[in-house]
Amino acid sequence: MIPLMLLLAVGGLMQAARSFTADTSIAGTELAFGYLLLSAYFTAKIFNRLGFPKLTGYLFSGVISGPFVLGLVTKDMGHSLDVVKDTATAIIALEAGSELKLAKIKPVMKTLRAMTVFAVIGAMFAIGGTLFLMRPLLPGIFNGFDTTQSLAICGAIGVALSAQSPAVVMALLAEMRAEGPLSSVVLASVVVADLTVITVFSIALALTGAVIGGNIDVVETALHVGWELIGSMVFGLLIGALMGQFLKTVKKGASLFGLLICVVVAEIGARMSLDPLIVLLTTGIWLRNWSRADSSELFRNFESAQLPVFLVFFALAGAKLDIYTLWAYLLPVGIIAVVRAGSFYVGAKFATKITGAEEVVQKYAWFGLVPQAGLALALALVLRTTFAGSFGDGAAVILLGVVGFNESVAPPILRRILIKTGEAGKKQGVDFAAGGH
Amino acid sequence: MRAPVRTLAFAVVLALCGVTTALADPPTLPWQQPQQPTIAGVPLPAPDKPADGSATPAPPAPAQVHSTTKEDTFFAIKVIAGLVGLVVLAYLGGHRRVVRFQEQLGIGGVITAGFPFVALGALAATDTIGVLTPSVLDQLRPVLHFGLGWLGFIIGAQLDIRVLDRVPKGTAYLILVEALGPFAITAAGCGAVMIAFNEAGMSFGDAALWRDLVLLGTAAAMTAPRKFRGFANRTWHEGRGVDVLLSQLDEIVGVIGLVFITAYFRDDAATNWQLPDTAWIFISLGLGVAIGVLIFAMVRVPVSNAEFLAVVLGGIAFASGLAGYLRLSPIAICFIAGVLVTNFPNEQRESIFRILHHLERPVHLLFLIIAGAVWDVADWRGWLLVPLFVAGRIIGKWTGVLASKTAVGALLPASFADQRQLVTPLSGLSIALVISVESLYHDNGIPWIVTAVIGGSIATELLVSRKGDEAAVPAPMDELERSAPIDELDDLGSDGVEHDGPIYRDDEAGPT
Repeated sequence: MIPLMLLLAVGGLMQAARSFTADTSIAGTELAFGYLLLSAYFTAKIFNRLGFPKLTGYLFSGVISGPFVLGLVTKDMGHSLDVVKDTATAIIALEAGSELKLAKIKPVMKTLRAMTVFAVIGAMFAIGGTLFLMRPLLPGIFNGFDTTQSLAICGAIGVALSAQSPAVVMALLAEMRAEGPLSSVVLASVVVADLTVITVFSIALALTGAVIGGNIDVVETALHVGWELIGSMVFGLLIGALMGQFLKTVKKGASLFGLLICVVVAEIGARMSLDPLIVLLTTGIWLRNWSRADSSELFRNFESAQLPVFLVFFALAGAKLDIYTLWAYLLPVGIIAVVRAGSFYVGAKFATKITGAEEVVQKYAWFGLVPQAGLALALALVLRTTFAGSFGDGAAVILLGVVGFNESVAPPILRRILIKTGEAGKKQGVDFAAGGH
Repeated sequence: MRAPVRTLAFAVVLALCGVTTALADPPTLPWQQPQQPTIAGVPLPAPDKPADGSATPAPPAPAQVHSTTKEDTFFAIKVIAGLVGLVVLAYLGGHRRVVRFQEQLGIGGVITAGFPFVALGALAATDTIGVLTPSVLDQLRPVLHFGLGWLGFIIGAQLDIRVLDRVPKGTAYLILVEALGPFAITAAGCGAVMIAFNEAGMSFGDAALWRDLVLLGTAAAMTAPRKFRGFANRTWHEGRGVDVLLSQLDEIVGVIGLVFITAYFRDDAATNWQLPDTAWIFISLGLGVAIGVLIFAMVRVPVSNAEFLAVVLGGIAFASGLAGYLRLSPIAICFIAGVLVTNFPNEQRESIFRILHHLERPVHLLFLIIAGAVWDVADWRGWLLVPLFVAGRIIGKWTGVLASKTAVGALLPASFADQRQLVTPLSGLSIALVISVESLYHDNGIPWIVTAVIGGSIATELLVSRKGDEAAVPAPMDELERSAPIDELDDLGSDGVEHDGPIYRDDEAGPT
């Protein structure tokens, strides 16, 4: 009851303030930050009492506050908070990397490889094929394009739609304090899948542009993809070595140092054509697996401090969800979401079975690939801006619709799976989402 | 993670909100040539026309997703690296060991008042260094608003209103005349010079001139304890010097001045609320109270430190945002909220103070850096006001001390009136006050005031240091012998253990 009353009070104050002027250029950023932080926190409290994950509460709070429902947080306000999103992604990548204990993953490496091939790459083909068959339902995307061009477009959208969400998986595992074979495989598989999607998307985008625009420089494309992947990994290793040295020699203030690294990589990495996600993922893996420095304290401390950033990150993701578009495109979106989940199910079941994975992994690992959030949204934005005026806008509608669908539906189901398998609550330590000690 | 890191993390993130937005639209340099945009490192092809020659309109040139030029990238890296450097300096500047080193050098007063950080900000804003450019600064406003709100909250939270019941009779008169003296003399002196030298056609009928005079007078009226130890070390209690108590009460004058300025000198033409000016005073008070009650209720919900941190940060960011959005002062609104939150019966007071204390120093120093960056040092007209400002304060103080000694000297215990200093440091809130108003108004008079107050503050601090060297004044101890004990909230963490990270309070040894 108290969280609800506080939520209404915060919302009421926000609404009153927003009625003062439509100009959000003065103080709009901190107003949106404070409001999203508080509203996401209290909405999550309410959702948690109703049996939903807190993550769903964060997202829901963003949807309701965002420009498509109440309009308390405008698009401009959301844009001004993009650095929160970037930093949160960087922190997630660092932590995801640190969760990947290679010694523990080694036994399931075969499973991961098979899942990537059969579930993730399989899903790209399945979704692309479905889109190709659904062309009459999607005139806004395919009108005026011949078969070859349509195939290229389906490929690009299919790859983007197959993206997973390490952020959601990490947040849920942390919130549920989950640990066990399923949690390990799910986290590792989404991280590996994300790397795969980023790589394939880069290639698919260049190819699509070439097919539609008529030119492609294969060598330059390969060099850029190589720079992004290999360069990011090398930078990640360098940063890992730097952080390791800091942990060994300076020790104090390591968390602040780590945070600054995340901020700098998030903001500068993209400008150097590096992928911050890969950079910090590599850093995390290095620190956890090869560095001689003891990074456990760093990561434990990191977890307790990130709640404000994550609250705003997920609320912002919710605020960007256009529910009207989702409603208008419900049929194609529904079909694609089902095909996507179905291909993960079939691919992952097959992959886990042939590699002899544990029963719990065989049964549920596929669902870890279903949630979507940040990366898929970013790819939707890339498609929309790259092919604006062509198929980009229509593709973004479908992408945002599917992401929104998965964003809303997947976390509660994954939460139930973690509870059902008994992995929830097994992990000790600080939990950023639940805020435990 | 230790609380300072958590809280500083928040400040960094908020700072970079602005920077990122600024970088989204970096200044266009004449030699910048657009390069082919890339996505995820892949150069985007430039489609000319549909390959099949169909009627489909050719896709327009790809939007510049990462449409960076080398200069853009260099600019971005320079700005971000520069800001990170400033953050690190702010962190180091508050470190216990650094502060001790300053004390050993005998420059602690000037340093801990934060003036090197003002200079750092001014340097970072120069064309040569070009880190805090106007566009970056403009986008750093959220940090500024948040910092002002934080300071307002921390100042308000340290005002234990139970002390007011126990101060000796005559204290209110003393505060009033010691504030009114510098206020009136500084405002009159500086106002005359502003009229005499003004280039923008200012006259006594100009509302902006009156606003500037009120601002100057208010800034001059506030004093700091003889050694400024930061905003988070101001709670007065038995055993601390009277100057700490009086400076704390002085700051109420500053808050009243701010409420007055933001209510009566508004430009609401382009807004949806058309209210009489006086209504804004009630809105300020009402908003402060509403936010205070809200934060008071909110801090009861969290079940962990992480959640508590989120709620406190969110509450202050929200309050600062609301104040800024309504063109009110974040300092004043958060001050009222802070007073309410910590003066209501509240089991979370210690936790609130712990978070407030830990972020205070970095926020203060970052805020000073921004203050330095918005300061137009080269504006000679402001420097003209500096001696007047300093002299006005001293004369005003002398008048006030004389008046209070004559009128209520017999009523007050020793040290309340007879040991008052004529040259007292300017309150740190004075600079915050001016910067707060600077962020709301952009007319010709404001740069004068900024220079007068920052310059005056530095000059006063140097005078105080000199005076302190010549004759150390014994610090008066508890003068309220018969008063009941009150909570020593500012003794949090004084466990004798040397903590890592910034130092927020360093005078456990007693009054200074």
